[in-house]
Amino acid sequence: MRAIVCLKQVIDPLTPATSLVLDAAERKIRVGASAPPVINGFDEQGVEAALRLRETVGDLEIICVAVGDRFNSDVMKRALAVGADQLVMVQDPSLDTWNSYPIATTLAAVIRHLGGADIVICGRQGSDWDNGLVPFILADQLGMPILTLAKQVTIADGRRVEVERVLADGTMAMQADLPAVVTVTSELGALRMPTVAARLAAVRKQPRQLTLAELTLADPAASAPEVCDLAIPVTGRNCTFIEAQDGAGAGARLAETLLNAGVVRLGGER
Amino acid sequence: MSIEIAFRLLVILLAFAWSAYRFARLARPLLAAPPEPRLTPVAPRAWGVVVNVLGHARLLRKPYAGVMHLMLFSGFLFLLTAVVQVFGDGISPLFSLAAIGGTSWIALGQDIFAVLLLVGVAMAVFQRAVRKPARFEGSNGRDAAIILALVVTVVVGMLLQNACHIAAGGDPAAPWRPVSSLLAAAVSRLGVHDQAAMPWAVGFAWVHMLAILGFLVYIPGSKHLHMLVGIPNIYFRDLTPPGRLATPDLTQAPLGLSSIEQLGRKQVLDLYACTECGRCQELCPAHAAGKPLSPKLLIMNLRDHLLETQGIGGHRGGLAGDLVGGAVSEGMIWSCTTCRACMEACPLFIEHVPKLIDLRRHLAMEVGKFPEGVSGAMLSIEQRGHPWAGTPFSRLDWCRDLDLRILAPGEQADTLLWVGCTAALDSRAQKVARALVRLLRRAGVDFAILGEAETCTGDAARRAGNDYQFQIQAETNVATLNARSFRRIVTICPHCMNTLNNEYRDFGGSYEVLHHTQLLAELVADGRLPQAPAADGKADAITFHDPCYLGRYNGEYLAPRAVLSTTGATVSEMERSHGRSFCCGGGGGRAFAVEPPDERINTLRATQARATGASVVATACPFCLLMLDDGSKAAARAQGGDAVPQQVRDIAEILDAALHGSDGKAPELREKAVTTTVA
Repeated sequence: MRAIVCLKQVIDPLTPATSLVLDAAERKIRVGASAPPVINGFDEQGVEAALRLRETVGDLEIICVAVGDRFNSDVMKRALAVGADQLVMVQDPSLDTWNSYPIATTLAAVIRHLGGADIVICGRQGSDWDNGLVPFILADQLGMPILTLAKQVTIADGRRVEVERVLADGTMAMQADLPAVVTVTSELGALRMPTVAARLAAVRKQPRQLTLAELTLADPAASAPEVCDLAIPVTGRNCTFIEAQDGAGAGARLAETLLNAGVVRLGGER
Repeated sequence: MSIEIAFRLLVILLAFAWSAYRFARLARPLLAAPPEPRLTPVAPRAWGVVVNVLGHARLLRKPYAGVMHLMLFSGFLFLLTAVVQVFGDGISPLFSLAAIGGTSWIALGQDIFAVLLLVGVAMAVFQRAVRKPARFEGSNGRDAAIILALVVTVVVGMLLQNACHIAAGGDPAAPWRPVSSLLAAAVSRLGVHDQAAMPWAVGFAWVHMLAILGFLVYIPGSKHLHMLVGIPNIYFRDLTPPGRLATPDLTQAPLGLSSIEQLGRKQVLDLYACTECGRCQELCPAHAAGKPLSPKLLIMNLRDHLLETQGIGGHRGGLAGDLVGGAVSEGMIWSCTTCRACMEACPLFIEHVPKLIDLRRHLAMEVGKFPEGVSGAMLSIEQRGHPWAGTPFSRLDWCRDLDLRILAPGEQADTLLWVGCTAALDSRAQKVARALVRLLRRAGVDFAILGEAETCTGDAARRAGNDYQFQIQAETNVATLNARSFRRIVTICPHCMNTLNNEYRDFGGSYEVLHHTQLLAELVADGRLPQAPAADGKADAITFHDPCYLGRYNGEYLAPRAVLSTTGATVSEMERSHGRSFCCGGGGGRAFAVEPPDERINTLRATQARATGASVVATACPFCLLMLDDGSKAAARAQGGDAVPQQVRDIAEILDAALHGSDGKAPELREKAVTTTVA
């Protein structure tokens, strides 16, 4: 049985805003060398889901597939260190995009190229652009059912996937026949820490590189949306001391200050 | 040869054989353990034995228990003469120590030390039955009782043996035995004298001898094994600097301690040496906070696990299962803050912390397991080069407006300021770094920082068992440092100081490293920083919290206090200070751990600080600063009402405030605040 987990390399979501640089011409966000990228956290949870599946299914081959550009190999090889059997990477400048369609198309082509999968696991969304579209397009292109927002994934009888989905105020159990696409969410839990022996073994393993030319890609979408503008939030602090005779006076002045600053509004105002 | 003498010989031989069998069983795992190179240097090792065995240096830190032990110890040593005598007499009637004073000063000494021993036993009984210090909780009380009973039997047997001898009129040493003579008078009044006393003398000689043989047989397998093992255990104590952990070769399994056979020979000796006195437990902050760790129980559990798995039989049973998660729970392994209070207190120099680190290395590197919170910090060091995941700051944000010099490769400065992750990335600790910069500029120190090239020293990773990450950090930082030239490094964090100074040597980095309080003390002493005036008479009442990695690990207790004293502050000491300081709870990676609210070490420490009545708690470590800042709020809340939390401030902030005319409360706030008055 084979599980394929899709991985995306993203800017570390915990990078402080002061380290982000806006590339206005290309409409992209860049970071300095001091802030290396990470594997999308939701995708890491996908790897964890696959590792847990292997603990119950036993004979489960886990292949991680990453599609993008300028991969940091040390970062991506974490998937191998925690126990994935193979890491397949497709790198191309055209894949450095926020657009989900070419990414999903390429992922589908890689999966077909590798001979398919019994289960495809994706993170619920990328932590950089939050589109959350790739798994749906991928399921569509692979002709598989999709089960979303799983916090627990199990395989029953070797032919059916069962998931527990997270809802705002409860959970929902769903199942589908394999092969299927499953997206996982943070409630599943963090990716395990690799052992040192596995890390050292992973250093010796090399990711398998595929080029777009080797893949049979579906036709691109007729028209793609484009990014018009990007902005990095400006953060700052402005400390104001409220001076007054007594507490009541200070309270009144505080309310006045907040009203003037537009932080609060009077009742009834919309 | 009379039948009695033959029987006596037989009993002695049997007892020796039994005892030898019991000793040999214990020796097997000790000899099978991998040796540790601890034979040399002979002189300091031997001197340590003199100071700590003959001199009772550590034992006497507790006057009652120390004096008690000294009486038992000296009495035991001197009464070895009586042991020689009773066996000599027993085997041959011609045996005599008279030639070396057996009938004069030795006889007198035996009487005196017998009394001292009995006083010591009485104190021990009083201690265990009445004073009942909490440190004995979990210790084997029955073992202690059996030993005390045996000691009393030996001493009383000897005294009565001698008394009956005197009453029988056959002891030439009688004038030298005042106590025995008094007893002889007493037994004589009971009709035991002259010929009638002889059988009694023989009888008590048997009692005396059997009690000694009982001792001999009982000691292996009892905590009183320390009488024999203590001396080598002190001799083989660790002489490397306290802050230097061994660097494992990560390509050679095992990486950590998961099986008791891996313990080195001195580590096994530690287990045999433990007397269960509980001085470690008494000082352990984790134990005080109700966490599942007692250094004493760690050692006892390891010992009984060893004995049970070797089929020798431990003292308590039920510990023969797994080592990790069985005999030693994961909670026990992770609760340690590596504060070293246990190791400083142990009279036998048992090494608790390295064993816990070794167990952590197994969990961290061979299983991939960390406690909640710590794993996030580990991942962050790996991914971002600092443990503070989620900080809104990048490494240079704290000093963007300060125009600091950043030392590039190939450049040179007198002093390299190692800022450290916490001082660079935590908003509270950043104020310490800024205060220090003002002081260094005032003193005209030529200094620079590494800027973005600085990365976590790896202290938290190493002490959480993640030596893999530590070694990566060490190699990176040593390469960065060795590409630049400077006379010395000054650090804000004692953990950085310890690692840079003690641990980077294994990676080719040898530096002169100062803690900022040491540099400040030097600058004040040299007159490069003025004595801060206390002219306004508003100097704060301050208590100083000794950071473990500055004090216990690196022996610096004076510099921070010297700096404080120049500010005119009134300094009061907490009950636990200097070498007995109580950890803030932040060492060993615990600063990042998720702590249950009812097990917080920082709250305990802040409560102790509060008890001094000082308005300010001074410290000299960013971890301590943050831990105590939280703790002081919890301690004030616990007091209820309008209790105001104590301010927690670094020594640099206090000196800076004293010198640079702030309101002495929050120097940074004044600088940045924009005061507006709303009409």
